[in-house]
Amino acid sequence: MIGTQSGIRRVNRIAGSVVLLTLVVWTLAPLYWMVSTSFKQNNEIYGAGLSLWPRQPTLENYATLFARTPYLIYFRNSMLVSLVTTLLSVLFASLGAYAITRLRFPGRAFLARGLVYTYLMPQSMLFIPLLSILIFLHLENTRQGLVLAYLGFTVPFCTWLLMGYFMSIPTELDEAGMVDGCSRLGVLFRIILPVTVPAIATVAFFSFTLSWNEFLYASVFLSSVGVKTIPTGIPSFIVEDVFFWGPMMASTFLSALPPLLVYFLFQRFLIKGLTTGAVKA
Amino acid sequence: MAGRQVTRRTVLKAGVSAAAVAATGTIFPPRKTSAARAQKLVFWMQPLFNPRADEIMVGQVRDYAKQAGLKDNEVEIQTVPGGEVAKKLAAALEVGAPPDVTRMNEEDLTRMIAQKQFLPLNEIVQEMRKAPGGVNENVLALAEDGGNYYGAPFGLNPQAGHVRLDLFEKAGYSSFPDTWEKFIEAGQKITQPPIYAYGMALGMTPSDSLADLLSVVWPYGGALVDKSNKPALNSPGTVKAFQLVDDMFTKYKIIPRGVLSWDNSGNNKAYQGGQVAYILNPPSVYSSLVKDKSPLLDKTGLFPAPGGPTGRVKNGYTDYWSVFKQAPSPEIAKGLVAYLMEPKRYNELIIGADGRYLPVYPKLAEDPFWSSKPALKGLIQIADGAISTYWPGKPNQPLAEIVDQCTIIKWVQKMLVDRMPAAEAVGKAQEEMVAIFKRYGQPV
Amino acid sequence: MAVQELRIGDRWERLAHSQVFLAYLFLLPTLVVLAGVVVYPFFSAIWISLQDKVAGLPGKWIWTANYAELLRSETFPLVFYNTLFYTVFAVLIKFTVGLTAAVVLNQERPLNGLYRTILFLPWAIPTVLASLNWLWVYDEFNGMLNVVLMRLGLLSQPVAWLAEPHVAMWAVIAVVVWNGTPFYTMHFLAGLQAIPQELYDAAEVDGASTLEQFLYITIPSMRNVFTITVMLSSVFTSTSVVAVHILTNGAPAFRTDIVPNFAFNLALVSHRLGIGSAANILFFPMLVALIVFLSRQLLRQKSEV
Repeated sequence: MIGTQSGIRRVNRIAGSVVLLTLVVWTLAPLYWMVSTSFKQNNEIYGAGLSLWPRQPTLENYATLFARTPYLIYFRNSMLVSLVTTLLSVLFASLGAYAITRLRFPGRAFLARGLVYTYLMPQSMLFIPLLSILIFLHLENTRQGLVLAYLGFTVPFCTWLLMGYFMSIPTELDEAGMVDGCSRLGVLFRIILPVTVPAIATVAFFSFTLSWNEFLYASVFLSSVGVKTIPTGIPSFIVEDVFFWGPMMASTFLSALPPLLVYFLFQRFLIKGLTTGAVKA
Repeated sequence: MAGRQVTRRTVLKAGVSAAAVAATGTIFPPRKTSAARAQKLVFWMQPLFNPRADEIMVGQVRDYAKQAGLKDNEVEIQTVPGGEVAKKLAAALEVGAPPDVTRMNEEDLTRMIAQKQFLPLNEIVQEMRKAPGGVNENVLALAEDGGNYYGAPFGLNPQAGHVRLDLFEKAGYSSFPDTWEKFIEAGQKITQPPIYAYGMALGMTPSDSLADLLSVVWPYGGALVDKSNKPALNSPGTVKAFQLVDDMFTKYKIIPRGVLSWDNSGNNKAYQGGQVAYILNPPSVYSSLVKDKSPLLDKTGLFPAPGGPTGRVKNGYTDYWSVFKQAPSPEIAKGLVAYLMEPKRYNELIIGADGRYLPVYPKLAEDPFWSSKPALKGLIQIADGAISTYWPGKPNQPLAEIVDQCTIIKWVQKMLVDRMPAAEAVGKAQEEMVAIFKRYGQPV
Repeated sequence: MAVQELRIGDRWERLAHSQVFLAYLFLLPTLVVLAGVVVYPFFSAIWISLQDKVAGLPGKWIWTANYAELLRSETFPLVFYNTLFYTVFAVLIKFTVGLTAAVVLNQERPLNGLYRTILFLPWAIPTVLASLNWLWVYDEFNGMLNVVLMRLGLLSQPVAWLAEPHVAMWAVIAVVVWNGTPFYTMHFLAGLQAIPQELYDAAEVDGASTLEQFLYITIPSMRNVFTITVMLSSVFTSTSVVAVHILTNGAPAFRTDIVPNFAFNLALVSHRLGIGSAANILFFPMLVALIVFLSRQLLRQKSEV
């Protein structure tokens, strides 16, 4: 009967499934176009031969991508930059969040509030002077410089997220540790961090994905092929005024895989990490 | 006692973490503070659309490097697509590290000359003049400032009308119409969506859009500036031309609606995809058709744009080699330009580019390559007597900005989208040109 | 010997137990990075905006001339308005779709992990690549959207999605929504899962309908997450250059241009770094107003809890 509990639940479930299906189609349709184009030959991509699925599937776009473009170099660079940024973000953010939540010192409240505001500084405004700073440090056109620039937005966000998480861990744990002869740093590493694996995973995930996908800074600060990352290297397939659609779509497909993999692996941590982190922040 | 033990361990741990942070720093040591870079020659290679031509050019640069005694790691060839050059130069100039040698279009050349960024290339130009048949003097004039030449002309880009002769034939026109009125007539017969007659570039990207616009403005007597290089856009001819563009887009609908957001590849894609019957573009499209062995190749003819009351106008722009004054080894950098422009070697590249560029040495136009196909003959004819975007004036900084920021195209879009009357749009465009000239302190 | 050790030990002991010392030690890397990479560039941007600075040349001091030029121009006010329009609608739509997705994903269902991964996909793709992809989807002649709609008979002629004045902005917003919704979905899903099931059970016992449960339990519990997500997203959306730059670069007639793209073009294409910075700074007060407003909301919520 419609009015019963299970009846309502079933309607909810069905409605939910319909909505889910719509969302999945909406999400996947453009991706389908991308993936199918990556397997099509040129005559099927343009003009009269246009098709919704590849009639003569080919791997030549991928072959072109690997053999005739520096895609693998870009991939390697993106990996390096993203991993190092992630590592350093986690380290700096853990130390900072611990300090803010566990230690008493003048300026604590100001820093806690100010940290969030630095995160909100628009990249589009900062990139011009940031270039001068990197020049001054002789870090322009280097991956190190890019990592430094990325830390500017990953560290505040990660610190803030970890702050929320650390606040939910009772200080009794710390005190117990210190009574047992642990230093503060030891408390951080031996007691708190193991409990905060979900938060660390979340923080690592965001740092990785934000670095992997970042375009503006990378395009302004990097100019040599040897150091370029994927988001900036790929548009240079646009050789003057003709598009390179097949290999471009192939590269888009491949470039989405690492963040996807990280997400898939860290999924269960993310929920917990975001919940306590963001919700309590 | 326990307290002191904790203390030492704390110190140890603090020290270890400090060392860890420092160690991370040493994994990435900042470069040494030396002004000199390792490379003696940095060349920004702007792809020519044709992999064979690109290979030839890179090969020539490397040969030169070897000849000049440079080791492999002393030469850096960076591939920079033409559309990215302005942005990369902005960053590079701020760093104080522009490339040594690269190709400049007319606008960037003008701007950089005004900012005094280049080394004079007078000896190279003299050498070029000594070649049999000399060098194209018209294009040389644009690179001159205060008696010195700051650019060595590299190649002419004629704006070639790429025409689908088969589509025109089907509509009953045995050859490409020579006036805009006839073209509009033909266009209406040809246009049956999704096929359109005119892939007119009207997007906010410098280069293609302005060329298309001017190809209508000039035959009606309009121009950007007058002979004394003052803004002269506002004229009855220009207004008539703007009105024609509006008619083509709005009344006769022979232009696809999407052109307003095209980038420089928009008209290429439309033509190569068989969607339009006519585009105006440098021969890069033709080059691509050849490279792809496209079925459209045989159906394509190359013609100047249609004409009007003041005649039929041929348009072209020139690219130049320039050497930045920050080059640490100026003789090596200049030597590269001289090497690349040596007539026989230069001809190799021009022919390898399959019509992408026309030679700056008039004598090379007699090479049998240019009569091997009727389309190529058409190209040579377009180059003959081609005027530049700035005719009858010369490029200067305000004009370079006007071109780069698509100032005029902006008003065309306002006419088409906001339904601003043609006369008002032209008037406003002229006003803005004058304002920009005044900002640079140029006479109006 | 022992005496000396004692003295050094004392000093270290005091320091090591000094929370202030430790705190600043721990915060040192963060502070250095932020000072150098965020705070200083911010003030530097203001400094540059007061100059006529062209790339490669030293700047000339012109005080507020850049700002005057922008405010007097016909284009900047339009671009400013576009930015507001675009941000408001993009955030609204992302919010709605994100919440819907989170609710749906929160339901018990086999293969939920798979669905979550699928819906997460768009965020995994760099915006620049997503934009290029959508450029192709929107292509007037060969794009998927026109092909499919024409084959289904819903369109008789191809539509130029990125060039029609009334459609273009929505086309850009669609891409931004597609790319950014998973950010909301992730946060909202986490928020939903933090709501204790007992609240719902109690409400059901009291006879509350699904809708009432949603309105009176779910939404209030999520206010915190809502505020934070909207705050972060508004800032990112209104300051992102990539999507607009690749899809339309402001065309047609600046109808789709937004402040960060406009400033980017001024700075990097025209090489006018001073006025580019000024354009960004003119928009900055809007961000500050938004953040202040939302922060107050957050604090109010906290105190209510």
